[in-house]
Amino acid sequence: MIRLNNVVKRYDNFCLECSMEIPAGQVTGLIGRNGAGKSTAFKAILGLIRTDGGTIEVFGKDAAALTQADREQIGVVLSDSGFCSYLTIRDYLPVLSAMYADFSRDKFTADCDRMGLPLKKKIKEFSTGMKRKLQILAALSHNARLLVLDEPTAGLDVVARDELLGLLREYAEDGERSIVISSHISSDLEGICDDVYMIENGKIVLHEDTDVLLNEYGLLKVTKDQFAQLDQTYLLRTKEESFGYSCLTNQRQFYQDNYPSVVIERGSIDEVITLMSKH
Amino acid sequence: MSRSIKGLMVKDFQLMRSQMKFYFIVMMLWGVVMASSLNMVFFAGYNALICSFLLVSTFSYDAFENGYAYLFTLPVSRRDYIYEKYMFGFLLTTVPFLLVSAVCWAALVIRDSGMHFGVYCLSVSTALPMAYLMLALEIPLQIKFGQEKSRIVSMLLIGGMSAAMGLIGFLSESVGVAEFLSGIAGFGIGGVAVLVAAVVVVLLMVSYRISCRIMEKKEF
Repeated sequence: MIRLNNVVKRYDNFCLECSMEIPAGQVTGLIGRNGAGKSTAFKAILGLIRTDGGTIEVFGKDAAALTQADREQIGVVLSDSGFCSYLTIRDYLPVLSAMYADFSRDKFTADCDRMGLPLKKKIKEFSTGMKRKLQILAALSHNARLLVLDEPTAGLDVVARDELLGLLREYAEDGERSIVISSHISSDLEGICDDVYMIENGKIVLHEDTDVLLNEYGLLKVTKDQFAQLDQTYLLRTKEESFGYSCLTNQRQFYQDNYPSVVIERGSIDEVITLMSKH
Repeated sequence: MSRSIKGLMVKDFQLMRSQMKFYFIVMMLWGVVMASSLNMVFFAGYNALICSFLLVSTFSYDAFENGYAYLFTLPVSRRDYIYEKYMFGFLLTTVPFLLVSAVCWAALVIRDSGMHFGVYCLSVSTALPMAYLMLALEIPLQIKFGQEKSRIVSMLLIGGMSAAMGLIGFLSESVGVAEFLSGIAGFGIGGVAVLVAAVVVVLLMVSYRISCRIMEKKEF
């Protein structure tokens, strides 16, 4: 569905250099710290910035050559941009109807109603969470094959987050549609993503299936003596702590079997970000 | 008309609706003042220029809170966006101009001003090319510089053009302006109208190409 091949984008103090692939029917998470390059990667996919090298394909075509019909198949949430605040949702209904052949006006207004989004209120009077809900509902309103969601759950309360993640799961259920999503709330990604890419300083430092990450990755907490005796073959990252070392491994079972005295926690996206980012 | 351009037109129309109250208040006040002095020709022309300026506000709304980024994730190409702005600017200038000109003519007839219809049409229509030229100037400036900077740049440009015109006037004898103007006058009213229309169309096309090039290079 999306393929980034050695994409390069240079700024004065930052350089994105990444390759990624999001197959059809897959929900892919993009994780990383603030400023790691997640939004830059999304903007490159969406053609909002010009790249300095590499190729980007969407739906098997050069991203720059997408037709209007292709672009109708993409739904987007951006973390730093949205609908014009001076209009109301009701003002936008004819705009979306005109732009998207498959825009489902009745479903969209019903969803807005259910999510507590007033149709006649100017969007500038919406809270951050309401604006985010509106973008997500708009992205889901026109039967897109691909969703590109940059921090879609930022600013949402727990109930709204669960509800919207439910909508995204429902959307992805048909097995043909793809979602690429970033979020700083790791539990969102753990619950919805098939695989995750981690980006750090503009480079992909990890790509793993979420199931593998949750079931096979682990965090070892060892003293300095334990660390000295540890087989370090399967340690991905090590961080010095007051008690000794925290070590990230992708072979949790190996250490559980061979070092029963070592404290080993299950892997999580938060731990991966924390450990992978420190080096 | 493609779906994306239609969608953008609807969006700009919705944005203009919120500006309409302000527009009508200004026009009503000016209308009262002008009607009392029977200066309806000036009023009709002034209206066309005001309407061409209204387009500028749609750029500000689009750019507000980095709105361009989201706008270009919709099925809208950058060329579609630019094309729609020229089309919308044309409609925004021409339709109110025709309506207000008709109302002003009706006012002149009711007040029995004695003005000939042909003279009236000729007088008011001089404002229209000016309004189109404002569009040709303002659209690329808005895209390149945004609202604040483009205001300064357009003032500098208009100032520069005025100074150039003044200089040409000052040097008119040596550069043969009088001969040039009398040569144009020789075409007759119809010929001059065609010439002005051709110049306006060429300048709008040049402006459109410049706007497209600026927009293609922008990053959001």
